[in-house]
Amino acid sequence: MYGRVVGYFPALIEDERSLAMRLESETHELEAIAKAFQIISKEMSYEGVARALLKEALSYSGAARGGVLLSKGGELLAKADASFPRERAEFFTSHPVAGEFRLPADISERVLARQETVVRQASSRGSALIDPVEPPPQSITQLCLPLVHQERTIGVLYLESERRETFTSRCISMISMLASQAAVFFESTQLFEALRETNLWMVKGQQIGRMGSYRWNTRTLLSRASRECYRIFDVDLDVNPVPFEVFKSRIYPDDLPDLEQALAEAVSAKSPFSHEYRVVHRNGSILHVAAVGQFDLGPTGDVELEGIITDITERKAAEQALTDARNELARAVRLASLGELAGSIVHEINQPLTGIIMSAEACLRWLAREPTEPGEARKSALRVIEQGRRARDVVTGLRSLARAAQLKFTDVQINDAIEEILLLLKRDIERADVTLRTALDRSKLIVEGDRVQLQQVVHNLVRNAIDAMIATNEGPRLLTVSSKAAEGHVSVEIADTGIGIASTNRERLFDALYTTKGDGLGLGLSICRKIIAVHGGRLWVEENTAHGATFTFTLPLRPSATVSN
Amino acid sequence: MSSSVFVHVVDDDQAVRESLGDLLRSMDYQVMLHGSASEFLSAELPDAPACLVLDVRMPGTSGLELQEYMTRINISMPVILMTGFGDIPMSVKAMKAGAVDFLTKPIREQDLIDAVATAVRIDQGRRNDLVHIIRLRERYKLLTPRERQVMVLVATGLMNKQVASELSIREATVKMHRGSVMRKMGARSAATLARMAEALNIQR
Repeated sequence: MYGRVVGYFPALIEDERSLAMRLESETHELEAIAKAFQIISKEMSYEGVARALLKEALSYSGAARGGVLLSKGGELLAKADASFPRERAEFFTSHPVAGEFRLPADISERVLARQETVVRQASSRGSALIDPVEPPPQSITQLCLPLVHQERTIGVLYLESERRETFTSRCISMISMLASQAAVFFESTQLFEALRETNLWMVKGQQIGRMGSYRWNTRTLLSRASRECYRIFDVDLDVNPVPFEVFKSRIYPDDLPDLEQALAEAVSAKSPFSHEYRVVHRNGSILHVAAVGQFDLGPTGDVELEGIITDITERKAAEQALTDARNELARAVRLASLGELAGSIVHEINQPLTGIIMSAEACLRWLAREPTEPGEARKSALRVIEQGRRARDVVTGLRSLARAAQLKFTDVQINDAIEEILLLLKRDIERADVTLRTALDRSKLIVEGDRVQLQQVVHNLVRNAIDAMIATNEGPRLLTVSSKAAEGHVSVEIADTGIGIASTNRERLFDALYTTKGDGLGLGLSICRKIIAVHGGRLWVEENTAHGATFTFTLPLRPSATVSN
Repeated sequence: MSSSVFVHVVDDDQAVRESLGDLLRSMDYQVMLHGSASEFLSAELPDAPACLVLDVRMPGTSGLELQEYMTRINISMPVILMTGFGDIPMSVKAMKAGAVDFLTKPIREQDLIDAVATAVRIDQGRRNDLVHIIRLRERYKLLTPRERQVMVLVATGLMNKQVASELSIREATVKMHRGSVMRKMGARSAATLARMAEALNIQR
């Protein structure tokens, strides 16, 4: 770099003394320039470099005033990072502080476009510093040179002095060197800042996403990880790389065996890794994390697992809250219907019990008669047995009812669920001499719900329809089951040509314990309606125009769940 | 106990119905079983003392509804209601509507015996009263218009003289009519005659 500087000197023939003086003065100047370089190079920021350049140029030249303007063109910036904030693309600093920097048009053309260095005399009105805190003298000498990097003008260094002799050719060449060097620094600080900014974004992005990236060397078992990983695993930032033992110490003990097995399997198969586990912090708090990764060769040639770890604690909590809410709802429904149910259960158990007791008492009475009536007594005893069996059946039925009380929500393809039930009831349909007609929406209608419970509803409604048709001998027995989607809902219709429902009974139908059947519990439709309500839908009945009844229920479709075939 | 007393059982539950019938038969009652309210209403009821044991909870017409209907169409057979759950408002309603008793299933044997016995006694009493009144009416029909006038006034406790002045006839004539009334109605005293007038619901 100094060789280049020397090359700029004019070759002059001088005597030895003056040569010695000149050398001494040149050495001095070189030292000054070197010092200036050092000062400028220490600056880490764009603005810092600009200020240092101005300060060093003023101090070197002895000029009283000046400024640095960095171009708005942004080519340099664009190179560093296209998304770098725009407002920094233009930077202006001056001494004394001025409101604005405005080069006269001719200088601007020469300096910015042609990249020439301009020295000229001007009046105070010609100063590039507009509204400075200290006004310029009447007449000034201006030095304006472009800051050029890789043939692009990235800015302007401007100096002005009241003394004509300030800007000697020597001075100008020295300042040119300073300026060209500074231009290089601009680029590097620029890149540095962009990098730092990008890194900050990544860190911030990882923080927001609660997601950290890592590389795990499968040979050394050491990990390198982003800052967010350190937070997730509660590891101090100075632990770098992270030893496997430190990592292991943060895994929730119950989850460690599974995780180690999953890692071992992934390592041996070199297959993509994906595992969820819990992390325990030193203060005892527990996080749920999901880790994914894939294997590749690291810079050292070792196989490394590279991937992302996401803190899913909040999502887990939300999921748990949702599950809790659903179970709570199911429990509430269960409790709400418990009173009704209790009445029904009491009735169902009480009936045979009543029969048993009365028959047993009758039996005793027949035996106590004079003469005894063994024939009657025997009949009574048989009734006791018959009623005992009936009570047992009721209890068995209740058990399955209790089992079905817990809701399990999954994605349910409603048409599949309906078709299964129709298959299940195929024999009943045939035996009842009923013609089945289905009109199911051909798209895949997915609802979120408890499949078994929803099927129970369909089963109940179809069963009712069949019974309603068995009860009549008029007209054809036609069962129509249809589904169609509209406005985020699916509606399922089960229509029969049975005895129909008197309009006065229409709403009572859904009350618990109400039954039109001799052998019914009177619970079916009330429970059906509750099940549909728990799923966010509605169940109602309407009379057919001709004869029979149509039961319809609606369910909300899972968002974006309609996929056309 | 008389074997010509009938107990009607209305319960939709066949097994309960039969067990109850069995028990009642073992108590020497004549039993008629009905599966629903309409079955009972369309049955031919024998002309004998009877009561009705009725289940409250039935599909179609409920026990309470049948009880109300019977009151409306003047079937005055005493009713015993049965229920599966001790529903107080329901039992209050039933008792107000004139049920003899309200039994909770499973029914205690003694409660059933007592309830049926009470109901049968009520029905027998009612039937006796009915027979009595029919007889009285037949006798009353035999009275002449004048005798009827005399009977009403005597029944209200008037002396012969007062009756005479009331009817503007002679006291001796009153005496004659009165003797004739007492004989025709089969009454031995004025007090008995007064009770008969009350039962016949005749006033001056």
